[in-house]
Amino acid sequence: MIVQVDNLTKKYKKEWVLQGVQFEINHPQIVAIVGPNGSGKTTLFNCMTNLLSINSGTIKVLEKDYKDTSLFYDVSYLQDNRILYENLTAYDHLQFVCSVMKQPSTKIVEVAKRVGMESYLKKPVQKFSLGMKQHLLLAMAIINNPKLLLMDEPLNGLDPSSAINMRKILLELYEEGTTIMISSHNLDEIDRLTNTIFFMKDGQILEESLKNYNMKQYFLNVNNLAQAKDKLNELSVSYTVNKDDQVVFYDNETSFQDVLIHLNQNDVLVEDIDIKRIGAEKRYLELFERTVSE
Amino acid sequence: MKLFLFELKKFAWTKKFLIILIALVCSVVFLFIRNVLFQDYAQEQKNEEIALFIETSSSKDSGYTSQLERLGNNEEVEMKQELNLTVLNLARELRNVMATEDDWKTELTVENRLLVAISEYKATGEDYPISDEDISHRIAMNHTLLDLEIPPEFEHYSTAFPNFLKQVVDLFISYSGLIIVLLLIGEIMTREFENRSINLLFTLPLNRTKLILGKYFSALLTSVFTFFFIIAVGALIGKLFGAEGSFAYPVLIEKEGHLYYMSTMDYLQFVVLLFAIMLLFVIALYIYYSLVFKHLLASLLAIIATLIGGYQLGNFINWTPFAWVNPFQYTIPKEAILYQNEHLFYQGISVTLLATLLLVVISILRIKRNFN
Repeated sequence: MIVQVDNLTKKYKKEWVLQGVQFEINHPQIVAIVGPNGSGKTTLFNCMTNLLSINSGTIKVLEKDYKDTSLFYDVSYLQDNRILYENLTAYDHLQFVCSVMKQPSTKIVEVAKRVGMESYLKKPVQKFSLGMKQHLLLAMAIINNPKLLLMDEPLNGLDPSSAINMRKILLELYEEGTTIMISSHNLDEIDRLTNTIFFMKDGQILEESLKNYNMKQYFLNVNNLAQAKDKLNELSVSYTVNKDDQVVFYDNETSFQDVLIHLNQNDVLVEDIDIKRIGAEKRYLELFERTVSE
Repeated sequence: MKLFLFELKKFAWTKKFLIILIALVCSVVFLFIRNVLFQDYAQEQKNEEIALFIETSSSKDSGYTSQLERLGNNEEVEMKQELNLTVLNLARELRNVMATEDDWKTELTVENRLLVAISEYKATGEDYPISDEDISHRIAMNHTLLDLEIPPEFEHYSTAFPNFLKQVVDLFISYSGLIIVLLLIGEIMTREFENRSINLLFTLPLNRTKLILGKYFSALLTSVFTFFFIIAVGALIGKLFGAEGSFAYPVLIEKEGHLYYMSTMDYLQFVVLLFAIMLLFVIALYIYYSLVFKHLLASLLAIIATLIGGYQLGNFINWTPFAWVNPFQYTIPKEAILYQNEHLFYQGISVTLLATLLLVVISILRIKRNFN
């Protein structure tokens, strides 16, 4: 058992932020926590790491009580960049974390290389961009090869190449046996990382595996839009037409095949197809439609 | 040790720390230059004081003469006139000695005779532009200087090495030492709570006791370094550019209604000792307030209010046993040494150390309770 949260509640003043949250993670995996702002994602991580006291419930991490500080030899928490000390260098931060984690000092350069921050290792944090700070936070979080890595919005401020690099590192860590719990608003990235998503709604978790959800978004360029619309209506496919005159619809692969065959049989030429995997986004919209429209 | 070094780095690797050190060096240098430039001014002030005595006594003499002309023979007025004349003559003599002779012993001897004469004159119920306290302090000081054969220095404008060092210690340790400490360590935990950087420490395998102790000792070491630095700068400037002087130079203290003196060396040692004890206490108190308020301004206001309140309470309650239980009496260490009428300077040492220990323990328990 890696994480076991049972009936966790947390109240801020008069508002319940977490209401009977419960879930288990029994084997190494990447789990995304998705939910609107204020849904309790950060609160959940803060409770799991004992940064916040809980009102009721139990939390066990790696078979230990969550209050046991020795847990942090195996658990890392990538928080927002305000935890960094502006006057100290990246090296100072890594050196400190490395020594507390009882890791050899060679790990500093090693992890800096892995994250891609060797060039600014000796610069003070106050000269860092948002992305550079995220790199440092990631380096600090993985220097101990954690068994569990909690990441709160790690993709904030990352340029595309850094985001790709972070995804690569996370997938490598997962391959090495690290369980990663990641909260993010970037649903595209989530889709690329995992099928296991905990949607947070009303202070509770709806555990979802999108493995069989097969949610994809199709963008079709057709030679005759009017005819294509008629034919799709015949099939009762729910679709929209975007500003580029592309036919856009969500469906599973079987019905996509049906759509293509049907259009082809009716002389509608599909000139180009763009497929986007949007499992998390689709499910998110379904779950939070009311919240979003509000 | 890892946390201690990290905390030390957080203190020392800041512009603020550098600015404080530079400001302190500039202030000490400025103080010395001021003392050099004000030597003539100090002498002039002394001359003006004598001139004031002469003018006062001359005018009083004219007053007595006209009183006697009006009243005829009056023993009391005659006696007062006689005493006033003695003062006048001695003041004139002192003025001549100061102007013509370069003999400090004669000067002090005449000055003491003058002060005794003024004291006798004031005992008749007449006014004179010098307080009784000032008279008694100056007589005692002059006697001591004559006994020890140490030439006098201007109290506020001395360039002699020991006297200048005493002035530096009084100004930068006794009076403003705690302000400097708060400037140095003000952000020790409060800023970390405010910007949540404390969460980094809370999500590392660090023992909460060590966390508090690491912060405490790093703050202590930074403060101690800063004050040694001030003393070193003062000593260096005094030694290189000041006059030789003597560390046996007397410092007058009031003790149980009597005047005593201690050497400048003893005084410096006691002030530094009491300040060090207060430093232990103030850092512990500030860490506790930081944990309670988790806010820079609130913690600073709380500690300033506590220190001022505690110190004033000590002054207000003159009951001798209170000194055994008041940990705030060394807020201005100099005062605790110079004025020992109601209580002796060492009476608060044990309670201050005990309060320090208690605050550290309470802080550890608090951080364990809230974050463990």
